[in-house]
Amino acid sequence: MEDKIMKVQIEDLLMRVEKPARYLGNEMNSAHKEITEDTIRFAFAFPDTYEIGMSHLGMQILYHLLNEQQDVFCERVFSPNEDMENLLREKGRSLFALESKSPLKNFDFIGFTLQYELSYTNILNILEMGSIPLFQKDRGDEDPLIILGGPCSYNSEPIADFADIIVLGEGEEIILEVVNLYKERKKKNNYSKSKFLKEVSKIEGIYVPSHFAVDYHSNGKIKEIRVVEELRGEQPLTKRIIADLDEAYYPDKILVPYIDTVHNRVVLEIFRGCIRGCRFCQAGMIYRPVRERSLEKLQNMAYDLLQNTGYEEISLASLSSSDYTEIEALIKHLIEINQKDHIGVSLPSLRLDNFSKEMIEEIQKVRKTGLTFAPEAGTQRLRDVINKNITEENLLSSAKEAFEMGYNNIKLYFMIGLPTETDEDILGIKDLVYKVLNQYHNVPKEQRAPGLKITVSTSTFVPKAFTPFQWEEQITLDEIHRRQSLLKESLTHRSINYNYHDGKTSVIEGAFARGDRRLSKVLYKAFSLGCKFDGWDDRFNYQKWTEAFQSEGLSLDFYSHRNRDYEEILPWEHFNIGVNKSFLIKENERAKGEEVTADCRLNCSGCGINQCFTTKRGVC
Amino acid sequence: MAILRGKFSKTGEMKYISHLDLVRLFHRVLRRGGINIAYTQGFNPHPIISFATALSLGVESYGEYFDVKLHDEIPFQEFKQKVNEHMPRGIEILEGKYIDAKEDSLMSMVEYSDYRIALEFSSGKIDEGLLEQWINDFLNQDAIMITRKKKKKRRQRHQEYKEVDVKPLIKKFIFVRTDRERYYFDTLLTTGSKGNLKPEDLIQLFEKHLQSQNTDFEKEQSLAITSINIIRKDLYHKVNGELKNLIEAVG
Repeated sequence: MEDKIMKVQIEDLLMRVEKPARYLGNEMNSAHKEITEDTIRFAFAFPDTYEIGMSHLGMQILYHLLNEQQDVFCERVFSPNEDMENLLREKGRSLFALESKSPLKNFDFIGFTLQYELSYTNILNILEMGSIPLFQKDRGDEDPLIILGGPCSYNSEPIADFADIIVLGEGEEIILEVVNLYKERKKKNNYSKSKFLKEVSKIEGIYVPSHFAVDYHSNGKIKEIRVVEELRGEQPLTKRIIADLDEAYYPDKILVPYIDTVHNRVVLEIFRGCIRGCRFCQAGMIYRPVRERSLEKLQNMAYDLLQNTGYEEISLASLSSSDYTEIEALIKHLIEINQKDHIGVSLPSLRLDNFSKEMIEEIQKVRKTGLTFAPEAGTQRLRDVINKNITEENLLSSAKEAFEMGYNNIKLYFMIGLPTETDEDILGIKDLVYKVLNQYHNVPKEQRAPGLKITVSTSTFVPKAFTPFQWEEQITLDEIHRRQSLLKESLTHRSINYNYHDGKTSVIEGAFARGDRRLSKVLYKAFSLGCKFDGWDDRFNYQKWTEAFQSEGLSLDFYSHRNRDYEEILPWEHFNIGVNKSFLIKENERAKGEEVTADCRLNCSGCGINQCFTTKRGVC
Repeated sequence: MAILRGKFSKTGEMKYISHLDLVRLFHRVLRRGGINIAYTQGFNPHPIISFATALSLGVESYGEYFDVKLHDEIPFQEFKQKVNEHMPRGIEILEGKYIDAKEDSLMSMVEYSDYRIALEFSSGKIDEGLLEQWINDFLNQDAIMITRKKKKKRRQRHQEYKEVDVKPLIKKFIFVRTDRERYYFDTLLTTGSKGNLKPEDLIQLFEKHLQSQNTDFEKEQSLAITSINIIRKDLYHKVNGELKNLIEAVG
């Protein structure tokens, strides 16, 4: 017991690190509990900095859900920043959870959220800094159970060797079942991890990677994904979702950080899923079906969350906020109740085709926010290929309205390297940006705000599992650089700013996004070579990554720059997200034929999700 | 509209919260407590609240001040209770009173701060008489020079520095007592727009002085300060030659 309440001493380190408030753990609405012999201790670990992790909605939901259980104490862990990491290592101290300062090895569970592939080395780093054996096979009954969840679970094979349990689907639907089962088993004297894993694997939505084995052909492709432990019999493994969001758990308070974070505001999740079906978008597929919260529920949630945080801003979260059926009523309501307290309402993920001037004017009454548009591709042809149903007229008329309202700062997002992209499409981005620029100059001088700034950002397309483009090759590094330069050289106007990331991160991300289990070794090797914070341009080291691939005898080309055929067994073949493979194939073919597919509200395209799940307040 | 001047403490772990974070925390706690605060005009309205002077990260305080503009006067006890209920442990509203809108701003009123400083030395124990002697020597210098950053001019790239004599800013610096190997000092320093010396800078100057004077120690090892704890006790304004804290100083 004494061991359980042991604390890592950090008092002497706090004045030696930047932003010590990252490590206090006593923020508004944080949970603090007495730790007893019966307490189930869960460390929710976000494998990135505090500022990024604290902006993550999933953590807020699971944290409060777990802490509302009497015998469970959920605490937070983030990747410590470099200065703190160096001090902890130098002093030989363990990484700790923020609330109790207990070392990580004192926990029953360490739960990691898999938000993006380039955070995987940080997961290994957190385990290592907590003196926890990295590989699943090396951990015993006394070690914490490592449980992973989040969007990358749908292809978690590259990190499978490090995980005990992987959650497929929506965590708040499953996590209590796992924790409660553990509580029951732990009470008995003959607890064994392997027995627990067998039992927990019977819960729908739970994937225990060590119960599976993968065989490969000599050409490197997968031959078979085999079950090595007796399972409940049902195959493949189907994700779990919440049927009715109104009935689902949502905290009435969220943690309020002291320091500024990426999304430092109340986040109101209005619906899950997306009606759109953009072919590059993994979220649009894996979060199906669409499920909305009712207006009344959202009004109550917004009231509670603002009341319990004192936040000055509320933001709507979803994959495409303007697609919420009662969006105008919701915004009107939020503005009405918040005007007195000057609480701003921000709306990320607006779409151009139903962006209404009235809505923006409403929002502006309280607080002026920036405008971001995401046409994603430069030509109508390519937008049809990716099924981004936005026209040039949509963008130009929205831009014009924005400039007329006095906006002078507009951001435009595009992707480069999309399937079928040619130089014409790249230069189409330039043409589109200059047309937006002209819209500004067409607005009379006395009406528009001076000092136009157009920020153009491109990201490099990374094909993802469970999308219609999952079979497509990613363009090579040289080609990424060439297309970026082509665009850079064509965007020379002084009001235009062009941002892009180095393509090297996209190539590694690409390998892990569609990688198989063999990449666990590459991951381990890269980590051993010193890779971490790979999502950060200034910390990413491409050379070490290529070295890691080489030393394990695996090729980046095989994972990133290779076309798969429809018959190939993909590393995620044993999972079922509810969307049929035949639908993904059909959509890929339609992409090649430059055919668009209508959104789910207009016309059901038969993706298969409604065969798997029944829901409330959805489209299907 | 009414302006409430409040005094609060910032102690314990809250000493790790920067001034900017503190301002944000106040905004949120005031809103959470349902206080009817007035807001600035413009595109990004924020609550009208101002603070006397920023406290350095790592320094605790029992004498911090704010002026907040409210739509209507509510009894101070009610304000205090509502705000304290939502403040994290370590920040506590202590006292307050409504002041005339014509009163000078807090920032312009601050003239002095007094601090209790606890130091530990690399040598462990130090003779108290010697310590007092060192302080005397330190204060009896003709000038106590500190290097400060110059304000950058427009378009200036490189930081320029200047030497400033801070001796006139040290109003008091005395040794108070010892607790095992911790040595406590009191100091009163000029604070605010007419001159400002931070206690951590004073200690750094004192340490430099010790190291330059104590050749005896240098043979063995140079004497260093190994731990510093600073508590601000209060902030003052001079009224008719007398120090008054920022609440007492207003009518």
